[in-house]
Amino acid sequence: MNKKEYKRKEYPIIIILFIFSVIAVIESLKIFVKYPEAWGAGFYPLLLSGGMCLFCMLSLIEVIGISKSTKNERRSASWREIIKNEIPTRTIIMAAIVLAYVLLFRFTNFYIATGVFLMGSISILGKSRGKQLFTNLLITMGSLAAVWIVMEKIFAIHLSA
Amino acid sequence: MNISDFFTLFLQPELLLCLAGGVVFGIYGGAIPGISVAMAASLVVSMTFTWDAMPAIAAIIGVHIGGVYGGSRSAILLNVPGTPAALATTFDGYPMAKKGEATHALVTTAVESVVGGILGAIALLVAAPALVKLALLFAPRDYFMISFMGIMLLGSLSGGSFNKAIFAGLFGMFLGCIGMDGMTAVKRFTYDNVNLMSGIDMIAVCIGMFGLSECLFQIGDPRESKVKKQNIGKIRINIKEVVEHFPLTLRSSVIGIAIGALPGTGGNIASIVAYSQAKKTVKNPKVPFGEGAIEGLVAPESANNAAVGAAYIPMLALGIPGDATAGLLIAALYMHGITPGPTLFENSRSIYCLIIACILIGNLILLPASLSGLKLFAKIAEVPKHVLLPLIVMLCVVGTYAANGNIWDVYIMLIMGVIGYFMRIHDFPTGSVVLGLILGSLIELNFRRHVQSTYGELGTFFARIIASPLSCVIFIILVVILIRQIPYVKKLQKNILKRIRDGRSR
Repeated sequence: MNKKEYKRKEYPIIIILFIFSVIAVIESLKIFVKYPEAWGAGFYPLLLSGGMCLFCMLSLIEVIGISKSTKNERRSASWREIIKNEIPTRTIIMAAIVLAYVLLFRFTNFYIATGVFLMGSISILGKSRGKQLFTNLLITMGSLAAVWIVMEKIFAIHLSA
Repeated sequence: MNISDFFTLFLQPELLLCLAGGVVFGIYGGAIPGISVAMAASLVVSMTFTWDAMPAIAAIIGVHIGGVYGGSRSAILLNVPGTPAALATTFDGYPMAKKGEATHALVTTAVESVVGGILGAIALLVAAPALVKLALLFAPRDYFMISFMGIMLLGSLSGGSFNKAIFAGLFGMFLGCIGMDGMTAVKRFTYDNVNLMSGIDMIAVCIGMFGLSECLFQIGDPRESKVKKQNIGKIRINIKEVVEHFPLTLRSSVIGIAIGALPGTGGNIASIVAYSQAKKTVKNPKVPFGEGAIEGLVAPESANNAAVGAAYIPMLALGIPGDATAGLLIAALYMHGITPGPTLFENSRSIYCLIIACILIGNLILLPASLSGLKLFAKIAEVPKHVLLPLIVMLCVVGTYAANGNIWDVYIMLIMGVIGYFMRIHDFPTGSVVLGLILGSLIELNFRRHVQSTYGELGTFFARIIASPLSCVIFIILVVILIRQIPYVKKLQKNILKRIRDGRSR
């Protein structure tokens, strides 16, 4: 990765974190105004969020400080390529499947949600077809049985609320 | 303290069973890339919170000991460190496996881990009681500064950006502020959400930051999708070789103990430092470093396991974890109504003795446990990523939900997993976030106590620090760590070292 590309990659995340830190300062100030003592509930988070802002700025200066790219460096990637490298398609698919799993868990129960998640994710990520789907089903059933035995029977922790 | 205190505890076979179970679980957990030691331990914390304190502690310590060793298995067989502490093991372990010496490498790591682990346990046995006496002299300002030093040390020794590491630590500490204030019961950042009143669950953050973020990272990495077939031969210990490398083992273990005993560091850094010292000190190895040198396995493996015992020194003496897994044990102790730190020795002596005994005996259990299942593991390591990663996600959800039976914690784990993913790819150390969260309440409590005792006056705040010799020393160390990170100072230090080296070579 060349320097220009590195900078392009780093700026957005540092700026997002800086904005988050500024919001944290504002929210901490609201508490500090109500409890203005230095040992009160508001001063400590105000210090932390202030520190977060400071170290975000220092990180930004660190990135800016990297010397400019030279002509010998290879062509820098476009924004589209950077985003694609940052969040590969398989990561997006996985994150979406996990989100769907958690939501399904919220509205059904652990075993149904986990069964659908395991079968779906293994099949989608492994691009399974035909006989492989049957293997995936066996893995899913086996995993669910193992979790049920360990959690419900051995540790007496009930996952199916 | 009576030596019999340690062994009466082991008259209870269920404790030994829990310890051995923890060691085996740790070995297999640590050996699977994506399940870090901290994550495996957090799963055990969530599963054992309904148990009595003693078996739960034995199981967690077992996982810590087994997990740090277990990371070397995938490091050797797959060139993928199962845990960050096994990173240096890949440098020579994988080249050995490629030459068909996988069994030799695996047996060496097992033996060296045991030797290093026992040396670390002895250091704990000797140093912790002395440090407990010293810790009783500590004022709140000292606790506050030492805890913060842990976060700064993690940042300065991690090798990445210090600014990013400190930001991550502060972020973790800020997350710890969410919920009802422990001193005044004021609601902070809860926005009238009942689930946020009791704060953000530590286990959910740990699992999200270490487990889910790793899964999201690995699934997107095309290099990680290939599965390598392994061939494992006969398993035999070479005593002659162990004796021959004993001086190196001893040196590396001392490094592991020294680094592991610093708050917030642990085996990850110890193994890298030990590897580089081995590279500098071992003249004419039979095989060059990086191409399968056995010394390249001896140094990191003895150091990272020695750091396990050492990580409990600041925990027992000060209530400050030496690494993230020791931090999880602190969380588990609180869950069982036990306060770690110098008062543990007086108030819960049986727990104090149990922790030391578990580390010592756990390392003895590690030897037979580490030599078992090598062939089976080679098969587990061959499980394709598209099957393994969804199973790890399932374990993340189980581990998070089982702790409190609250779906809210699963949402937190999911959010932290996504944040952790972005932090990882931008070199913000996720370990600092978790350490910040674990130490946050300790830092806040002691900081506010000190501020209150000085009536909030800045002059008195620093005057009291300077007036006490102990506080003054800790403060100077903190300032030195900070100054050494200034780019100009770094450059100056580099130039001075270069001149010294040039002078020597002339």
